[in-house]
Amino acid sequence: MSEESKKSAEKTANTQAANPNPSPASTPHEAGSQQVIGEGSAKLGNAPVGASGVPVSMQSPTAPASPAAPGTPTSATGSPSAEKAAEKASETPRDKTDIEKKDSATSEAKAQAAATSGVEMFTVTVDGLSVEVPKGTAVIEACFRAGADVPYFCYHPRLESVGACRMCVAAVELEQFGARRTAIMTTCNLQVQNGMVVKTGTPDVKKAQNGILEFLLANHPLDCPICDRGGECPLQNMTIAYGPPTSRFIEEKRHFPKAVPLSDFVILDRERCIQCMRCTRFTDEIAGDGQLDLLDRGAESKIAVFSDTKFTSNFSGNTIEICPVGALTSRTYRFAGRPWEIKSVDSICAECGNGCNIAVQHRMGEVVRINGRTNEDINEEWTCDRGKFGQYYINSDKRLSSPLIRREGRFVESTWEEAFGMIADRLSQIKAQYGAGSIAGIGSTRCTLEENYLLGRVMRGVIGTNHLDHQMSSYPLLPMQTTIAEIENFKTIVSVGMELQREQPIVYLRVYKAKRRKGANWIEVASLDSGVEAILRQVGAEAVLLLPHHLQASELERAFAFCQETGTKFNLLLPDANSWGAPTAGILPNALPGMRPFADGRADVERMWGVKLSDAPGKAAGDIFASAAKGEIKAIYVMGNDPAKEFADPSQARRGLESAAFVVVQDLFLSDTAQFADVVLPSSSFAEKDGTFVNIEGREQKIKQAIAPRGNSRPDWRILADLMARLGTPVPYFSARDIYREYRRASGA
Amino acid sequence: MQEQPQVLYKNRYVPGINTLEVYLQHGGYESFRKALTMTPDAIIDEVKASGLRGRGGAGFPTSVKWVAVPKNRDQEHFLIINADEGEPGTAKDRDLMNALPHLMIEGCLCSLMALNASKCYIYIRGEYIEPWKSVQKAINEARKAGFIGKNVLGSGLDFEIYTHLGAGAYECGEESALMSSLMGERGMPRMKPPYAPLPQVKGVWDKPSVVNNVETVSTLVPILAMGGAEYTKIGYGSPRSRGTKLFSISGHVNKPGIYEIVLGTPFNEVLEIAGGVKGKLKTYIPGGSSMGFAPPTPMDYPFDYEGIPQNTKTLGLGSGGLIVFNDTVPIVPLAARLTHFYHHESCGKCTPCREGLNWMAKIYDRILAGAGRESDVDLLWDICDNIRGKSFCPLGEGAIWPVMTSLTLFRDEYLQYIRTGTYTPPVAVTTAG
Ligand SMILES: Cc1cc2nc3c(=O)[nH]c(=O)nc-3n(C[C@H](O)[C@H](O)[C@H](O)COP(=O)(O)O)c2cc1C
Ligand code: SF4
Ligand code: SF4
Ligand code: SF4
Ligand code: FES
Repeated sequence: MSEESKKSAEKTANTQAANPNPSPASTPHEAGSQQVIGEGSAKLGNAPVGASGVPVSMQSPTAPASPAAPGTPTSATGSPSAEKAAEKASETPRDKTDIEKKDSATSEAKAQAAATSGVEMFTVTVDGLSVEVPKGTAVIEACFRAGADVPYFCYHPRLESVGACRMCVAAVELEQFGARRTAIMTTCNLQVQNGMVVKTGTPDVKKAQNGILEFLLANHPLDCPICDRGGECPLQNMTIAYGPPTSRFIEEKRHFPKAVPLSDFVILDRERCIQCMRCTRFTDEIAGDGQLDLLDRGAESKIAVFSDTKFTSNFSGNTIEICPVGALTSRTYRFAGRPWEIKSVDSICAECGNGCNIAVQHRMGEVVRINGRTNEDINEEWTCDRGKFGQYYINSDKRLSSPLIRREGRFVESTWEEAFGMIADRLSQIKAQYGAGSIAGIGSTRCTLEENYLLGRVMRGVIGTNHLDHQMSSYPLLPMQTTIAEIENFKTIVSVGMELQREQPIVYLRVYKAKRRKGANWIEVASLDSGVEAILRQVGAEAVLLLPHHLQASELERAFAFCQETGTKFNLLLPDANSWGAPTAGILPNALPGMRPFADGRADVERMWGVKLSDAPGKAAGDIFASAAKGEIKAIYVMGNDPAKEFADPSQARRGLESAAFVVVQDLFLSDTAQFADVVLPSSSFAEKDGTFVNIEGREQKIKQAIAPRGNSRPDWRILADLMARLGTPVPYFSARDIYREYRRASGA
Repeated sequence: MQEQPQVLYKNRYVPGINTLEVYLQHGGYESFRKALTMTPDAIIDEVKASGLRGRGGAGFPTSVKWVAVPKNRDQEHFLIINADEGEPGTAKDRDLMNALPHLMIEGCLCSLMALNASKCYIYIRGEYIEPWKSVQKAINEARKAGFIGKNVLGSGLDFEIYTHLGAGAYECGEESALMSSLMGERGMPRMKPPYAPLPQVKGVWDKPSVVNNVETVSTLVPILAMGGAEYTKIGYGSPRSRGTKLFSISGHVNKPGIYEIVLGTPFNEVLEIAGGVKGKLKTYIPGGSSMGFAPPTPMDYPFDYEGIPQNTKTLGLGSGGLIVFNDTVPIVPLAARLTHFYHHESCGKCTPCREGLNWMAKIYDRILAGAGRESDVDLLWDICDNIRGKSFCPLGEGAIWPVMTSLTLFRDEYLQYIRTGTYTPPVAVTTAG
């Protein structure tokens, strides 16, 4: 029946021809003006290059070309289409939702990446303005580049287009079967042609969009006042900008269940769903598990999991974020706030070493939601469910709210003054009696770089001990040989002994992307003995090997040596948010900040700290606990770590902690380790402080304080700074940033 | 009356023609033997000369479709036979499969030769259990006789024909949805040019694929037998509508049934072939419901791909499902019934079809329940206008056509129906003396 579509296309073409505004190519006058427009437009090829190395025009494609700006060649042409464009551009731009802003930023990043990779460039004229875009760009993305607003629902720059919602239409003049024709076409699934002419605001286009919105709203419940999306809802926004003011639909609306739990985290409101298939495509194309799909057909279509299954994907939360309506809601955020009451702070996820960029969103001092934030080098825009739903411990009532001191076997609340007094007295006394070597410190891969650095300074510089460690099991500190993003370019990816989806979620998404989009071969094996060597011998440098930190150290070293032989990239993936920050801060028995050996860093550090460092060799965690059990180590200072639970041999840690005469623990909760403490100091979560996390790639990223510290808690760095003062060393820090600067110098940067 | 040479139906009523034995006695598989001696290009040239156009609904020239396929046996490509036949008013493929399964199989084999392909899938509508059994039996017989399988008739070429039963969705007759369904995916249409490559380039399992109707490939058998030049001489109308076509004629005619009729036969003669109209002709659907309703005049135009749309303002010949209505039929419940059909069959992928048809069905229900408003007439029209040209696939487009044509032809009847809740057939005026 393509005959029918042809016919309707002809019809549209006829209406176009009858349009008083002819398409630019149809009159010589227009053709001339088009050239002028081209000169003043955003060109990628020969644009001046800005400070960041990005062509200026790409940083803001509309700015230099905007026909509204007086004096630009476009406004001087006086051609009908240019005037129209000017008119359009001078309209106040529509207030876009965060979802849309994210999408257009992504499409821009995609275009830039393609442009710099040497793809052929096409010129497309959008509303009289010409832009250059790489071949393969979707027309909607070319429109974004030209600063035109094209409304859409199902389009997503990271998903394959389906052309389902039909909202993104424009009048497109294109070449097909050797002839040029103009038709109302969807732009999200149409690729640009060189010389294509697009008009986004013709009466036909507006009527079509108005019609689609009326259709979408016909059966839509419009329960905005109780809908989580209300206030940040693309459907609301598009309706205001493009929709009909009232509905002609007077029938009974379609009814579906309104709170269908798809998983422990995701709840589906089937009445609000507009069947855009963003969620199903996400599970299929990005997460790779395909756990969501449509059930039934036509007007009865509904999103569902397959029978007798649950939405167990570790990435389920992302579907909530990309749903353009309030159909997918989060169990944790449901009814917890309205977008306009929420403040959002850019931060980094504290749950694993991938280092997803996130937005911590809070309302009245409580974290209510964690959303993904775009970083093309790391998480693109996704997070895993642990990141999104696993950090509500921040709001927990079980958090410690004031310092605790053990008196007669029981913890009693105390003031910070009292607690610091007691710690300073006891540490000084132990140092005086048994020497600085009887005191040890345990840092944490979950505290910031600054905090670990400061613990190192207090231990080495103020107390004078080298017994410092952060590792709860020992593994070699071998840096990754590729970035996370580079993983997607390997032909063969071998992962050993881990469930990548859960242990390294974002690395997994790259691996799946490589497999899905670039045809990579992903081989998952249980252990290095499962034929890994034979595989790598075949593929060598075209392969990357992914290993977890929990393999035997000897195994890891064997694999490392082997990779050097075959040219395979070796990526040891560390577990925690700051697994690299703790050692680089100097929380190692025998290394200084920057992981510098003593011989190398000693002079710098001694000068900066104004002390002489101890020459005694430091003990690693295992030795610390063993020595404590033997009575050689008397005091253990634990920051943000839980060796009583997490040490490779917890009973060894427990014996050491039990035997030590004095134990101090800084933590959010009364942890297993805190049960052995004499003083417990309440620390603040990552949402309550500033600092730096160093992710698995060794990339430093800043976390930012979103909310005030809960109760009487203090950030770990603040606690250490206060203690340092109490121990009589002047404290030169007012902020985490001051500490960071000192760390940089101390590490020889 | 024009002469009606029977080329497809020549042996339709020969007893036992559905068996290989009788089929062979009547010259069966001779066209295939001939095709085996020809090059793919030579076969396509014959098809081109014959002027054959797809019989599935779109009427696209078959040779043009075939030229686009890479014809290299090393690069796997497929022939897919569309036997989904869901268009209301159409039952010709059912008859072909029931009565002349070997004609269809032979047609498939000839088409495979033309495409230099070795694999053919026949996608049969789920409700067509009998036709499926008939086709499957014919395949088994043909395999035994050496027409299907390895090294067919010593040619060194392999041919395989598989049948696949659908799960009952009209949309799965749309060729791209058919391919999705064949692959085990949801029966939803896929993108086509200019959005995506042709199926001939990227079809099932991303390999080049050609989808053809049952009747289209069956017609290859007489074309190869008589030669394309001879075939193109058949036809009374437009030089672009050649040969014969099967018409499923139903409704208010005296002899409803499937007829092979020469393209371009005047419409009144077509009605005569079906025994003439019962009562007074009110309207008719010329080619399956997606084509829309036609006015009772003119009657003497050439019934073919060009004549129908020119003379009736409907979309055209479509699948050849001619449904005739006399003046006892009220238009509103009729359009309502059709709208419900399309609403029920909408795959739900795109907004206008999913939501628009749902809305229209609700409006019709309201009118039928006596709660119609006069403004509903314009509202229905505007909803159609908002679907027109905006749906993802032609189903949405086809759904509005019967509504729009009925609104144009019978606006007053709609208004009367809304006001009074009933339809009064016009009383025949008898003039005395
Ligand atoms: C909604 C819809 C349903 C269709 N159903 C059928 C069908 O049942 N049988 C058929 O042959 N073609 C059907 N078609 C047409 C096919 O898409 C396609 O054009 C045809 O199979 C091509 O074969 P032909 O070139 O031999 O006609 C349908 C099209 C649409 C849009
Ligand atoms: S999704 Fe929610 S906020 Fe958006 S229009 Fe629907 S009910 Fe309103
Ligand atoms: S649940 Fe949301 S994302 Fe999924 S199809 Fe419905 S509207 Fe789209
Ligand atoms: S028009 Fe849209 S909803 Fe209707 S069948 Fe085609 S794709 Fe599906
Ligand atoms: S955004 Fe293009 S069809 Fe949905």
